[in-house]
Formats: sequence, structure tokens, C-alpha cells
Amino acid sequence: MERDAALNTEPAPWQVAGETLRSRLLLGTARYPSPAVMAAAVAASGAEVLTVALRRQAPSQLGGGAIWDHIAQLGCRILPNTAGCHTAQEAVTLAQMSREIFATDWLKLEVTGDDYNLQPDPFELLEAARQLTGMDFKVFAYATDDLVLCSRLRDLGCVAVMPWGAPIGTGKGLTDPYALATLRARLPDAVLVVDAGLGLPSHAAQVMELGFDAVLLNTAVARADDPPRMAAGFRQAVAAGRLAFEAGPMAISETAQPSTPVVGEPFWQAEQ
Amino acid sequence: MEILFNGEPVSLDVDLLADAVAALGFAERQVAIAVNEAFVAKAEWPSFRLHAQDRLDVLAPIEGG
Repeated sequence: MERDAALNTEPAPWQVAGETLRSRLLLGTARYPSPAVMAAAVAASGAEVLTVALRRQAPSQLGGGAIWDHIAQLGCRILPNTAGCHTAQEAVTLAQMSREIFATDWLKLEVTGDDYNLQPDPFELLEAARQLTGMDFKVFAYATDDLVLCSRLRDLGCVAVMPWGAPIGTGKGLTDPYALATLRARLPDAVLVVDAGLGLPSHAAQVMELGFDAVLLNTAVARADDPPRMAAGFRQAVAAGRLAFEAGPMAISETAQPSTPVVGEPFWQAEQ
Repeated sequence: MEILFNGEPVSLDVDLLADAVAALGFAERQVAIAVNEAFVAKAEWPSFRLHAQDRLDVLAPIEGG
């Protein structure tokens, strides 16, 4: 039918760091019950970008070993993070090490300022972003939802600015939707990704309905009872939210508006 | 010569970073290295000279969020 032929049910692709991606869900690779479950969750999510990390290793640990081999075989683009860094200098050093190991300029820049809620340090984050963009890294900057901080990160040339929805691993969902909506409105041309704090597919749909370009999450899938099934749920929610944004939501009304036409109402309404 | 390897003191009878990497069992492993918290590219390992009490960090890929 003509109606079906005209209907596009897939969200539009998006661009980041010069790459075109179809999936708007970026996925972490940590905290899964097993590598096999992680691989199944990645497949179910449709994610094209996976986050990874670097850590100290003993020789007995085979220098990164099996888990990295497993991730590399999934065929996704790799986004190394700088989790655990507390200063710009630490982050810059770790970024250089990541670029050599993973052979990518992409970097999820994390600089923690408070270990209680793993809140990014805005001052060290900006300094690290300044240095790393100058070294031709493609910086995906993990930040709070502070408008001025995110604006500065955008101005420094970060390819994506990634405000939190809530602190990492909490699963709380969006603690400040107003701040996120403001970010989207004030930075209309920036690539904005909500990273961290999501727990349910509905949270991801809410992010996408706000017009964000993508969602990055890990724990919500990895710690679900059935990670692949939850990954599939997030995949559909991200697509649903993005389609809603692209479709343009209706205007909210304070009063009821009849959805059934009132013209030609039967006699019992006409008498009122 | 004693250095700090991933935070632990170790004694090595070598001067060059590439030799230290081999002595520590990482020669064939996929690792990246920082000395005194500064990145040292793999191409520099054969000529990079270590000193006593240098802090050697050897990192490898793992899962991450």
C-alpha cells in the first residue's frame, strides 16, 4: 500500500567524528556475567560502538588476554575510556596509551572529581580536553549537565559532549530533565549523548525524545537479569524515542480536547 | 636496579625499557607503557633508558563502561 511505502520506521543515521552510524545506542563492555553474555547483549543492542578501558596487568594475566580478544571480535568501533583518572595529566597519559593499544583516535574522556558519585571534575576535564583536542584526539567528553561546562567542551572541539543522566551505575534515570533539555536547546549543533545513570529503556526513550543524538550505557544492560533481552529493550526504546523526536510531538494542552469530531454529534450531546 | 612496576618494587638487571618489558614477561603481550606517569611509545622502548626508582606502569586492554 502507498501508506506503507511512504512510512520510514527507521530513525535517521547520525554522524560523529566523521563517521556515520545507524545505531544511536553505544554500549559498555563491563560487568556482564560472562563474555558470552556480553557478546549476546551487544548483538541484541545493535550497538556499533563499544567502550573499553586500560588497566595495570600482571604478566600472568596475559597482557589483556581473553576479554579484549572477545571484544575485538565483535566487529564494533572501539571507544576507549579514561575511567579512574583524577587529573588532566593522568587522562592525557592514559589517552596516549589507549591510542597506541587500540589504534584509534576516539576517546571517551573521563576525569573524576568526586569519588562518591563519580562526578566529573570540570576544571581538569576542560584542561584535558584542551590538550587532547590539540593532539588530534576525537574527544567524547563525559560531563555533568552543566550548560557552561558543556558549552566550553563543545568550543574546544570535542566531537561529542556527554552529560550524565545520573551518576554512573545508579540506574536512576534523568535526575534533571530540565538541564538536559536546556543543553539541547542551547547547543543545537553539538553532538550530545547522555552517558550514565540510565536504568530502564523508558529512560533512554526520554533522552531521545529530548533530541539527544545518542545514549551510552553499560550497567543497565550488564546487570539486568537477562542482559541480551534488556539490550533489545534499549535498542527499541532508543529507536522509539528518536522517531518521536523526528516526528515532532503534539503540543501539550492544559484542557481536554475531544479526539472524536464534535460535528454531527447525536441528539443526546446536542441537547446539552 | 630497583624500579616500581605497577606500584610494586622489583629488581631488574637491565637498563633499557625494552629489556625490562621482556624481563617482566610482557615481550609478546599487547601492552602500553608509562614511565613516571609519562607515555612511552612502543617504538621508543629499545632506546629508552630506565633509572633507579622509576615508576613503570604496564597497562593492557580490559572491558570498560
